[in-house]
Amino acid sequence: MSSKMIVLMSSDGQSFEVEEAVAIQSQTIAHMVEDDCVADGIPLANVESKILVKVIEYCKKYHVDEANPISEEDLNKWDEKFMDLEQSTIFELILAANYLNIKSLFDLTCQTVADMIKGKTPEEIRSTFNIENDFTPEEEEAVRKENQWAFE
Amino acid sequence: MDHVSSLPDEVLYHILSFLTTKEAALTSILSKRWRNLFTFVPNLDIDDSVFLHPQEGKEDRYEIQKSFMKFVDRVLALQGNSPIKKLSLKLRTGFDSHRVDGWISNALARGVTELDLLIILYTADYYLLSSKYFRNLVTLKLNSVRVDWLAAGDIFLPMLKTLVLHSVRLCVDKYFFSALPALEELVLVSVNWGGKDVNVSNASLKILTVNYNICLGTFSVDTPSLVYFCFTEYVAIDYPVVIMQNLFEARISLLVTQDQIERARAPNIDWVEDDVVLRLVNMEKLIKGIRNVQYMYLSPNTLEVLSLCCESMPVFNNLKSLTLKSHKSRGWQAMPVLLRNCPHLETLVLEGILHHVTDKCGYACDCVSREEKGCSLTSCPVKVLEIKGFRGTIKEMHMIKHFVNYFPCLMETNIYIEESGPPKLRVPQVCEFIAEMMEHYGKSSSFNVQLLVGGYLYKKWTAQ
Repeated sequence: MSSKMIVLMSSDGQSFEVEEAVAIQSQTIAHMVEDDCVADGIPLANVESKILVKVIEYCKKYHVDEANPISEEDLNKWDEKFMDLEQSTIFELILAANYLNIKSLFDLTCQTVADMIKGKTPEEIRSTFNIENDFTPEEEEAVRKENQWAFE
Repeated sequence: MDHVSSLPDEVLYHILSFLTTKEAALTSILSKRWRNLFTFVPNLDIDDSVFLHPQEGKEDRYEIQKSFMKFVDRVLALQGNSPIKKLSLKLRTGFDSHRVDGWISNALARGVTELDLLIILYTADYYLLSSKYFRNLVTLKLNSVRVDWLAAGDIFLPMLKTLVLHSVRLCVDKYFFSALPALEELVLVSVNWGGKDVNVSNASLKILTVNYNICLGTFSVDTPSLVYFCFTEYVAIDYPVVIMQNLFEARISLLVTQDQIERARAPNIDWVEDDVVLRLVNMEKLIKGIRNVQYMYLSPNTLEVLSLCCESMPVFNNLKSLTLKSHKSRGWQAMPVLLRNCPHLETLVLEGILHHVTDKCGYACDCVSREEKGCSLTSCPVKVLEIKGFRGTIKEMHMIKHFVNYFPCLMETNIYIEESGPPKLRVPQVCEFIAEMMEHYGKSSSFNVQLLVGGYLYKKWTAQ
């Protein structure tokens, strides 16, 4: 049984052929398929090829059926390896997952960043993400007082 | 380069939604961009277990609680009327219940879809959940509160899909569950029913978990759409109604007292006279109710109690896979009848095979020597036999030989030894025994035995 293929085009002009069933995990793509405007391929103006490759890798892994049976435990282990990426790549992946509306990938990438924030002091969080503290000492004191309980 | 701060607001809200509200609030001080981001996360996840530090003095705690209340009030004020998705409140250290009522009402008014409450008071009383209008609620989880929804029309939960009640003191009328039109999953754990009869009647329910409930009268279930049923309970007074004709999987683990077991084993029981035994016999109504099941798990206690239901044991026409856990203090009296009543069984999983020996299990195993040994096995079409928790004893090996000999359609036998099981010295002996067994029993050429140690395949034997 041959599977229907569609073509995805990255912002930097590269084309990727993907099974339709795999690609429609993206709600954005699914709607385009429904509206029948995919004949010449789908241009993804907001997604670079480097990121699109990762997105396709994710969607292929998560297209679970008889040909690709996989347990939740194995998927969790795979997620960990998959998300072992540079920060800038993670953020681009977040934006791509949001734009393509792939809920599980969006949740995974955001959870990864949340895990980088969890358990850290504000100073440590700033250091992890290179965030510049633009509060004056008085302003900072005011914020601490506002949310006193959180800083106890 | 600071990539994270340049992400759009909605993305940052989503990232912060994976943190508790307290953790997310720490980000308020990162930079001006982050100051109030956390207040727009459409979840409130608040757990006061951070207060439970033994070193803190009582005054300290009071001050912290005050600032905690202030904090929640402020976040809610900042959120104004914006929609909220989830409110999770876990309060164990005493608080102003009037204030908490206010928080819950606020969330309900803003369309909260998931409510998760654990509220323990200092006094012996339960916190009474007074809210009644849960128009948008899709998931409701309640722990340690009291729920009083007795008057008709008292409760409005039109979109509720998941209801989890844990250690709740429940006062509801018998139509309560049927008035939840969208319910798909119901979990009842350690719920105190105050002596009332339990009636779970719902046309849409798919998953039902009933564990460790207390003070219940009779237990009735009318759930025609139920797919999964997990039941870990003391034996109820009676099971008047059990309707689960589309059941796929059932896990039944009865909790019994030693007295109940001894009475069940007594040779000359006058059932009418003995209350305790009568109750156990009523189990047959529960078992009849689940007879359409395809995957079934029975605990050692359940298997023993079924010894009182042998004459009325239903036929499990759809049962493909049966898992039985065994314990050396519980018997296999019901095993022969059970195996005879599974005409389409494909897989039999035995978690442990050593059991309390009685003369009634004789047909199914070789504990007691008898003439018609194994006859209830010869009518059982099982193809795959799995023995888990194998300890490498001689007795077990003889039992495996017995099964291999008498199950006529057996194609595959998998034996699992735990990593922490018998020392490696026994494994070679087990291998020798299996090799001998393969030679002895001329099975079809596709019959094989696999020995797995610590979850990995150690050795495989195929018949010649």
